Amino acid sequence: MTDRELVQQLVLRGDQHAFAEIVHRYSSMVFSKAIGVMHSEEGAAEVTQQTFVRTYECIDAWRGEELGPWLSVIAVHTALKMLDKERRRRTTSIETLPGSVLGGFINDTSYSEEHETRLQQMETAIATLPENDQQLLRLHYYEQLTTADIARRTGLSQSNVLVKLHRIRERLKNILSPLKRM
Amino acid sequence: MSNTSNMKPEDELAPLISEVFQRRALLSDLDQLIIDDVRRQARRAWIRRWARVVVFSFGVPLLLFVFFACAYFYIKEYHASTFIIVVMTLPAMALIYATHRAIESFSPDEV
Repeated sequence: MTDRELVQQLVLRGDQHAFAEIVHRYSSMVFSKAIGVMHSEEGAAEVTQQTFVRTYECIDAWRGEELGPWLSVIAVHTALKMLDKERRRRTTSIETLPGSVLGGFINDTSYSEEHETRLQQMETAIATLPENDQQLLRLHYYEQLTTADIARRTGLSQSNVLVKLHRIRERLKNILSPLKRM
Repeated sequence: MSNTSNMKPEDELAPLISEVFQRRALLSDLDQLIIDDVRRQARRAWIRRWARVVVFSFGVPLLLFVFFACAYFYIKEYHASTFIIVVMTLPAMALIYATHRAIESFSPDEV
C-alpha cells in the first residue's frame, strides 16, 4: 500500500492501523535523522515520538507521494527546536546547578557519525537476509544464546547452527565490504 | 553506542550486529509508545467532539429557556415596565445573536 493510500485511510476513515503502518515504515528513518542532530539515543527517541505525534495532528495537510521527505523535515525541525530549548534551559539553570550536573540530550560523546553510518549499513545488510538467518543472528548476538540453546530452539543440530552462523557472517562481510570502500 | 573505527572487521561485526538488534528492539518499543500516544490523543479528541455536540445541542437551548423563563416570571411577578423590557431586550438580543452565530459556524471538529 502506498503512503498516499495509507494517509487517505487515516484521514477519511480514521483508521489507526494505517497510522501504525506509517510509524512502522518510517520510525527507523526518523530515528536515524534525529540521532544525527541530537547525538544521543534518548534525545532521538523523544524527537521520534514528538515527530509522529505532530505528523498525526496535521496529516490532513499533507499533499504528496511519499511521506519520507516530509517526516524528515518535521524530525529535523523538532530536533533543532528541542536542542534549542535544552540549550536555553541549560543557560538559565547553569548558575543554580551545583558543579556540572549537565546530563540530558546533547553532547553525548559516545555518538559517532561514522559508527552510525556503519550501523545503518549493517541494518540494511541484515534486512536483506532471509527471516530464518535474521532469527539466528538475533538469538546468538542479541539474546546471547549458546549454539546448544539455539539448536534446541530451532531444531537444528549444533554443527549446523555453527555453519549457518559462519555463512551468515561471511555473507554480511561480503555485503558490507564494498560499502566500506565507498 | 561504541566507536568501532579501530577494530578489525571480525571484531567489529559482532557488536555491530548486536547493536542492530538492540536498535530494532528500541524502535519496536518506540513504535508501540507512539501508537499508544496517538490512540490516547484520538480518544480524547473524540470525547471532546461529542461533549461539544452535546453542549451545543442541549446547553444552548437550556440557556435560552432559562433566560426567557426568568424574564417571564419576573414580568409576571412585578409587571412589565418600559425600563425592564429595555434592560431585558439587550441581553436577549445579544444571546440570540450569539446563538445564531454559533449555529452558523458550528463544526464538531472545532474544540
